[in-house]
Amino acid sequence: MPPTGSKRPFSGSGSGPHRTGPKPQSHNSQQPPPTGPYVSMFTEFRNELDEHQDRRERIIKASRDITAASKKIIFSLQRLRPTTLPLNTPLPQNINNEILQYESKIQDLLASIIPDLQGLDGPRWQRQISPGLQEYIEAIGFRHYLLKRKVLEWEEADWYVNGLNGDEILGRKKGDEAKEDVEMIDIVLTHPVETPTVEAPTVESGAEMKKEQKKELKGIQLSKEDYVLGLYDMTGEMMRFAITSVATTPLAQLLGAAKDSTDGKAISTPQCLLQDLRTLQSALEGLNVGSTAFGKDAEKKLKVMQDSVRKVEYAFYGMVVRGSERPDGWVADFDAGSGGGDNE
Amino acid sequence: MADLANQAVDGMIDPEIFKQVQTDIDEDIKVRDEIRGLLKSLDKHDRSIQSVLSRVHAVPASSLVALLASAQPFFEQQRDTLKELNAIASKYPYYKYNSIWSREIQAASYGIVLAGWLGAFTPENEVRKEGRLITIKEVGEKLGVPVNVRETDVFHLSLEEYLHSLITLIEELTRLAVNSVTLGDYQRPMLISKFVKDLHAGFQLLNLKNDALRRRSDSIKYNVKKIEDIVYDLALRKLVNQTDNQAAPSQ
Repeated sequence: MPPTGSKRPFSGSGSGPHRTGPKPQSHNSQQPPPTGPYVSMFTEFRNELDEHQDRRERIIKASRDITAASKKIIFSLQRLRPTTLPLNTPLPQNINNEILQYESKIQDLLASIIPDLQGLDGPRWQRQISPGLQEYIEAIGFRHYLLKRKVLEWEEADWYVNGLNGDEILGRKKGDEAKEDVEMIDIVLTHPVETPTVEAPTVESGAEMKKEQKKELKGIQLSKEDYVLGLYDMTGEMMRFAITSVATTPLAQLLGAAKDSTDGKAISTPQCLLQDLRTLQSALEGLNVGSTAFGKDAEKKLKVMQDSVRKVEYAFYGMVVRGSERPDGWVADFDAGSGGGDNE
Repeated sequence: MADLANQAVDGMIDPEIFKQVQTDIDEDIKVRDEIRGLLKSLDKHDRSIQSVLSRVHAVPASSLVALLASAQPFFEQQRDTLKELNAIASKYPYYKYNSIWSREIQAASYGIVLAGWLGAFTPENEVRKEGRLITIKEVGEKLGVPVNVRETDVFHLSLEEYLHSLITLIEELTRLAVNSVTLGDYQRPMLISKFVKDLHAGFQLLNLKNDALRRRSDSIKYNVKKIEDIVYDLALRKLVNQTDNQAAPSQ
């Protein structure tokens, strides 16, 4: 650009304390709107990109909040102290109520982003929603394990994260607020799993979405990848639970029958966990995960899981070797958290 | 312990769970490999096109018609490969595998916008004219793929990919401005200056998030400056006529 005798641009002249002359704002406010042959084209692009960006941010935010609430569910579950597994009974009311509160939040969050994850957008924002879904799988998988001593199946996990089953999960009537003291179901799926579709929920778009434009919305789809990664994370929680149990189970029951075992066959909680961790380890080690992004994630989590199993094994070892030296009834104040159990 | 070891262990995991997961993982890897196979030939066509078009820096404008015509067969091959890719990719959710081919389809789009800017798609009865922006819709027509699809989950050229190809175009035109001067063509830099400034004004309207597109779009200003320097050099030496040059600043 040839010099045209104009002064230095505003950015260099207006900010000094000894500035003289007219205020540069007067130039600013007169800045003409952008013109040019491509302005309208790019304005359209902008509107579209903004729409994607807003959607992306809503999803990321929901994912974060789901993660936070899921972690709280896990903390509540970690406060359980059963003598054997599975629990086979409803969760204690205080813990149940804590979880209900968090899970109702999660279900609301899932429902709120269903419109943002329709069609093309589902896979598009998978990476953004994945962390939340995985953490939720970890929480409900862990709960399912404690209650039933079984691994949550994909179909069940899918039903949970769908976002359309909140009422059933929280034991409330359609559209009701969550009630206190409701016993949440842990997948009593007597009916075959189906992917329900509902009318568009009235979240956010209520005003602009005219009745005739209402579309059938599909629930959130859970990928097998997120499911498996959630299970990997769950083993970390099993480890923490096991270590605490080892420390708080009297030596006599640690390797023998559980305290409340009526027939003498039920084994103690730490033994259940050790067995099941090994079972899960061997199953997950058997997966051939490939070298995709998922494969790399899975490899990392596999290592963490292997470490978890070792930690539990070492805790057993410690109790066997040193436990007999302890006075009767002495129970360790064991901090499971320092074992690196929180791998998120 | 033996008694205990048998209990519940088998019951804890339904072996079917992981069999199903494994099937899905294997299928996913297979699809990726299949797509990658096609990308090799797509990449080859991209390179052939770019190899032909890059000679624009060395030949006078008068031989451009022949040069552009020689790229034509590669464009046709590219179109055929894209058709195959389209057929495979449309079987799966678009964004599941989009990242695999995104670079190649950006390159394909770039080939079209560059050739188009050079006047490759001028109707037969008209004289070749440089400086035209090929819209995303036209790129789609030339490549034979849908563009910027929002409703149905099919293979397409995305808006972001098109924008990427425009930035590559700007970078290439900057180089062309330099080389045109060397070839004694002083008018083309003027045309490029106007075009790139207009595009830059367009890009400045976008609210880009912090990603590759944002970083690349932030770099456009350096190209604008470089082209302005060229225009300045030419103007200073009175090598271009200021009056018929819209690109020269008038303020």
